[in-house]
Amino acid sequence: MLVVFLLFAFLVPFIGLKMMGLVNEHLQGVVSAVVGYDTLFVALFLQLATGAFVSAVYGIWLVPYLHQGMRGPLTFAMPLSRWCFPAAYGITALGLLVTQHLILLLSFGLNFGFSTFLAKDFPWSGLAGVLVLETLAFETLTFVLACLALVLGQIPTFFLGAVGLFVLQMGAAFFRFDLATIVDQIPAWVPTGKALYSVLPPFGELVFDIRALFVRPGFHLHFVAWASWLAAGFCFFRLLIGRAWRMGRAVES
Amino acid sequence: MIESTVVTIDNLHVFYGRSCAVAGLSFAIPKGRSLGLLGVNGAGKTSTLRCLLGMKQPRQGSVRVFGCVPGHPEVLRRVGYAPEEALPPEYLTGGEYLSIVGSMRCHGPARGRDEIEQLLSWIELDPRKTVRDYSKGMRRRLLIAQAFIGSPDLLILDEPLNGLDPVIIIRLREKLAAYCADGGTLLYSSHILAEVEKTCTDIAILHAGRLAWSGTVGEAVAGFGSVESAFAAKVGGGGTA
Repeated sequence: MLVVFLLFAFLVPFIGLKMMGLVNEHLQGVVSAVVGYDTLFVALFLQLATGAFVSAVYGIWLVPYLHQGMRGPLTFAMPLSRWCFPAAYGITALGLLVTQHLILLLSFGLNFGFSTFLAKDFPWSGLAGVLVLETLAFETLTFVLACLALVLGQIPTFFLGAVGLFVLQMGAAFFRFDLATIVDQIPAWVPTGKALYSVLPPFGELVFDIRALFVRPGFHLHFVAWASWLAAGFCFFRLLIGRAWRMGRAVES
Repeated sequence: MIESTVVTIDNLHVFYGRSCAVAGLSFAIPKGRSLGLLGVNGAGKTSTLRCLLGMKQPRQGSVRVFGCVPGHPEVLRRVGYAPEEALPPEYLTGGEYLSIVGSMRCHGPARGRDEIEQLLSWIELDPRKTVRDYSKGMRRRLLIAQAFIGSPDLLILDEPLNGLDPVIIIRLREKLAAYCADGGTLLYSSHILAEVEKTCTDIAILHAGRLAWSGTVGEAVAGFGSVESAFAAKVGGGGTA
């Protein structure tokens, strides 16, 4: 599983950057579609796919593994504090995400030369900000999916997660659009929907935030939102594996 | 302080939704005793065991293990548990699984390794094979072996004989006798009444979530002729569980 992950995490940014490098080499001077450190931004964008993959596989299938079915009684009889479980899963997910970030840098270095990292204008601060944001987002996604998988099961969580991410992405696009330019009267549900959207995990905003952070590094308000959702997911997971009814069901399933 | 009573259950009520699994159960297990928990399917045996491990919260009543609320890591550290149905992670080898259990029970690496090697030899398992490759009986042996790791003060075995061959059953009986002789406390849930009679010092017969009868094995034999007859007299049926 780890080998598949490493291969996938390497191939996606490597092939993406390779293709962009080829575009630059062949079309330089004719079409300057992607130049300079924009390639790095595109790689960070591609990493949304690999990050979602890691979160989905780890959160939906690996995290609940020891707590469900016939493994549950053995896991819960271990002399461990229930807090150890979310802590261990969070640290492992962090390890996977950091590995993914390092592979991204490796892919970039292999495509554009490792000396690029030494350039004075290399956007280290923008890169760091985006990587921190992606790490928080995918850690949160891992715990959200793990909690859903414990309650609903793996397959429903997979589809619900996919639909949820799609809806949030569409919501981001919709609520950013200025409806007043095309309709005379904004429907009454729009402000309510916007308010609801604003308190949900800002998955839909991730693409926009990455761009904003990369161009203008610094503190971003969504850091706080992600950190809050991560803490909530962590605590909720702890609550779920501690709840007697849940454990009884897990044992019986 | 010397602990004289290892397990205390007082007026235990356990529900699954509206369904009552245990209704007003009370008993205690003194240190060094072995209690056979008997009952037909659905009598409340496994629910009682789950309460003792902190896996199920009672609706009413109290459960104490070593005088503490069950489920706390320090309590679980002193309890060995072999569930009726459980499956260790299938990708681990038998040796790896026992090592992980050993490390969680805070062993020194050397002592843990020795103990695990002894246990593997006792249950005759190839430690290099994965759990996936073990037969049902081998998995059962692995589950029983992991319960002994760390020399627990309380051993809870839920239907331990399912799938075991006669040789291992005899070895388990001998090991349990040695365990109790060393001061260990045993809670043994089983349908094999003859084996309970050979292994345990006390029995508690559950029926419909209530305690139908309790006493020593000697009292059961003196009063009813055998544990099986006591079970048949208190629960009904043809004398089989």
